Amino acid sequence: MKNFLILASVLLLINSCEEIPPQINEVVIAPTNKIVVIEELTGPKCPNCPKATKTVENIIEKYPDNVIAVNIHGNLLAEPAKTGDPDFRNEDAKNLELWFKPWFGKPAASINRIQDNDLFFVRESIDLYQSEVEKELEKPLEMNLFMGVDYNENTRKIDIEISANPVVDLAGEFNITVYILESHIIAAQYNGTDIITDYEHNHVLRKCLTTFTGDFFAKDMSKGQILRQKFSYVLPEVDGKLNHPEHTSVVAFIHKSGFNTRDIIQGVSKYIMK
Amino acid sequence: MLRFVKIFYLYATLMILSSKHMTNQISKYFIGKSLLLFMFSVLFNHSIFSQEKGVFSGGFETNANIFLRDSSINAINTPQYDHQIFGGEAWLNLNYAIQGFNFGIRFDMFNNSNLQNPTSSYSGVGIGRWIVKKSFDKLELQAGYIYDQIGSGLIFRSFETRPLFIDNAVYGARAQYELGKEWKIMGFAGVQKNAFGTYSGNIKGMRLEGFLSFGEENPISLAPGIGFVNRTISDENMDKVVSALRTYLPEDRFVPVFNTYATTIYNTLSYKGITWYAEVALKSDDIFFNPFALKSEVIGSTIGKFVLSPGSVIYNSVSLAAGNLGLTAEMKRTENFSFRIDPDLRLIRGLVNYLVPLNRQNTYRLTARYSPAAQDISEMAYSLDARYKISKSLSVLGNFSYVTTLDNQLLYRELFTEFIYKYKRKYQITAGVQFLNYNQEVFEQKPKVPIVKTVVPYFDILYKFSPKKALRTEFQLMMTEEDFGSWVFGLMEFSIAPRWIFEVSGMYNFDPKKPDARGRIEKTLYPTFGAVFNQGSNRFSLRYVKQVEGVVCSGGICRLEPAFSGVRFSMNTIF
Repeated sequence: MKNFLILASVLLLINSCEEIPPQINEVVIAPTNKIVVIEELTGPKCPNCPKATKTVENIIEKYPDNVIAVNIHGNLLAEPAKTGDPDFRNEDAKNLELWFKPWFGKPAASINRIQDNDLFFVRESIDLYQSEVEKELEKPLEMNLFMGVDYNENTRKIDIEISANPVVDLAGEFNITVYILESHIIAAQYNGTDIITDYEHNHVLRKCLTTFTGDFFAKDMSKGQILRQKFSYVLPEVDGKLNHPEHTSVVAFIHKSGFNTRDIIQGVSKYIMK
Repeated sequence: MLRFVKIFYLYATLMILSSKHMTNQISKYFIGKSLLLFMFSVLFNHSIFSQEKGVFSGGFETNANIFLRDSSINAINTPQYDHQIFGGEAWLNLNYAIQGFNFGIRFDMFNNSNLQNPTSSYSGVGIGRWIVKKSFDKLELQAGYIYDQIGSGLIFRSFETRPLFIDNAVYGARAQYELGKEWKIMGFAGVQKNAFGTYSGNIKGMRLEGFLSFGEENPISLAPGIGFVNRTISDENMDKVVSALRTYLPEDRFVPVFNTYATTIYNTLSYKGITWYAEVALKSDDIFFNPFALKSEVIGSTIGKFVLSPGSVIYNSVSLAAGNLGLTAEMKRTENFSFRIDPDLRLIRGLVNYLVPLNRQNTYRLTARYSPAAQDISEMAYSLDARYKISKSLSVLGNFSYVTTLDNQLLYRELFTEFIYKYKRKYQITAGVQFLNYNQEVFEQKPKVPIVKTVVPYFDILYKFSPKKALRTEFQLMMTEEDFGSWVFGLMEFSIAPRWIFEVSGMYNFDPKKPDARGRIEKTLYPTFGAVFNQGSNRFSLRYVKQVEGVVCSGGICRLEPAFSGVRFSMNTIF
């Protein structure tokens, strides 16, 4: 038994030895593209909106990996242009339209929710859209934003996971906004004095999974952090031209949460069936 | 003077063997050559060992396979089936003992062998093992490739299992000293063997074992032991771990450690017909790959990651022999006890320790088809084995094994029954039923497959026509809806003692569930026929074999092997 105790003491002594561990570098995450979110205030009865939408489409064509468009059909000029067409209006869109006030008419668009010199969140001059987008793209990337989307065809449930990875320290309070959009909806649209009966409506805001002003995401984010949030949504049954999963996408973005400072830091978008 | 010459000769040999300046291959060549020279010099040099005659012993084993491609059973897509056609292995073991010295050397040959990895080919020839051992009174010294274990092997076991290509001998030195009559202390240090080379990183350990009895009037005896092992990860292997950790998100990261310490305490208590073996093993923080752990990704998660965690194993085995009744109850709890020389090694490679399996080691083809490997990350296992001899001619056996994870996920459940009836020396009937549940997803790492549930009735009849001639027949039926589906197996084995055994058997997938390589679900017969010839201590066997994919286990260490189609020749001899 004495032998046992001696050996046990020696073992305890050895176990208490300390060693110098190897160094491990910071997490290396491949950077994502800088994303600019254009939230366009539009409506089927807005005669000049197709022109604005075409401008946004041109910007997307020029910067396909850097621009996300959202079409908000709120109250103004947003009722269906033809009887029997789907109604794109919803409470979230109506609230957002009001929240973007002041503005005087449609078309109008917010570019990353940056305020201009007159403290307006939206631009009413279509010609300014592209230069505003390019100004935003010139700013350095502050955050990587990733999104995982899992759609269950049987239950029609969409599970969404958002991960944010700041590449610089970001002070202040930040919200997250998540939209469900639908594209390739054929319905009438005013165009000047004409009506285009088979107009293709894209990026239509169908649902906001957060509150329309966004849900709290984080405060004072540090460089290298990984912050996650999950959302889920059951896509309603197909209703004529609406709720087709193959045309449905999810858009998410992180933005400042102040009433007067709503700058979008980074966005991400994904179709649920791709 | 003679003693001095002997010690000098041993010392000189050990110096050659342990020279650090030689590369592995060169040192192997010189070591082998030196050892052979030494053995021959010992044999013929009467000035060194003049009076005593040495004892030479050895053995030879070889397997030779001809691979015959058969896509209907998925015996395809390995180099042997595609173009090599032939593959085999051979081992020649030579031992020489004289005046307390023991010298051993083993020649290994692998020629297009599928033993190392059943889906690829391995070739290599060389000295697979050498060993020099000398006892000086109470001291025993060994150098070379050492096989040993501490306790039941929970913290350390170096051993060889040829069918699974396991040979994790410690290449180093070992010393054992007798502390009085009943106690022995042993220490070793070295690196772990890997085929004809060694893994980087090293291990060392100690063991203290004793035996205590309390006089003839008190039938209690104790055989206590304590052991300790330290494994140091090499810089090269740590670099691999660090490279992996660099890609891990903060929640999965840890500060790696080079050294892991494992300790075990064990004891065998014997009292009349009761034997109780108990062992508790603990391991300090260790890096290992957990194939079931969730690894966080930027989006979602994947399965399998390196973790740093301490581990423990508790093992108990109680057996009772009372008259015609024999009972054995076992229990084992394992938590994070994967212990390897290199954390990056998987499956059966680089094992420092050995975890005892608690399930019954079945021998019949279909009752052994689903055999569980001992789990090193999370396992709670129980088994109960009861045997009762009703009369001289009739005995019964019942065995129950139940294995779950620590989270109570079922891994394995088996109820095995057996009746043996002997009629004089004329015939013997063995029959029984096996009920089994097997978690194929965990044991074979096949994602999203259901638990395999089988019922296997079987019988085995041995009939002796004469003292020399006997016929043995086996029949087994496996009923299952999972994996390959249901099977029937039949065997006839005719023996003419002492030389010949002829056998023919067939395994038939009569209710198939799985498509073959051509995408067809077909009933398939897997026939085997062959002969075994014995002459003295030589045994030759030649078989034509078609064998379904399945798990091959040896003492709780298992691996999934693909189907085999071809001819197998094997030869064993000892001298």
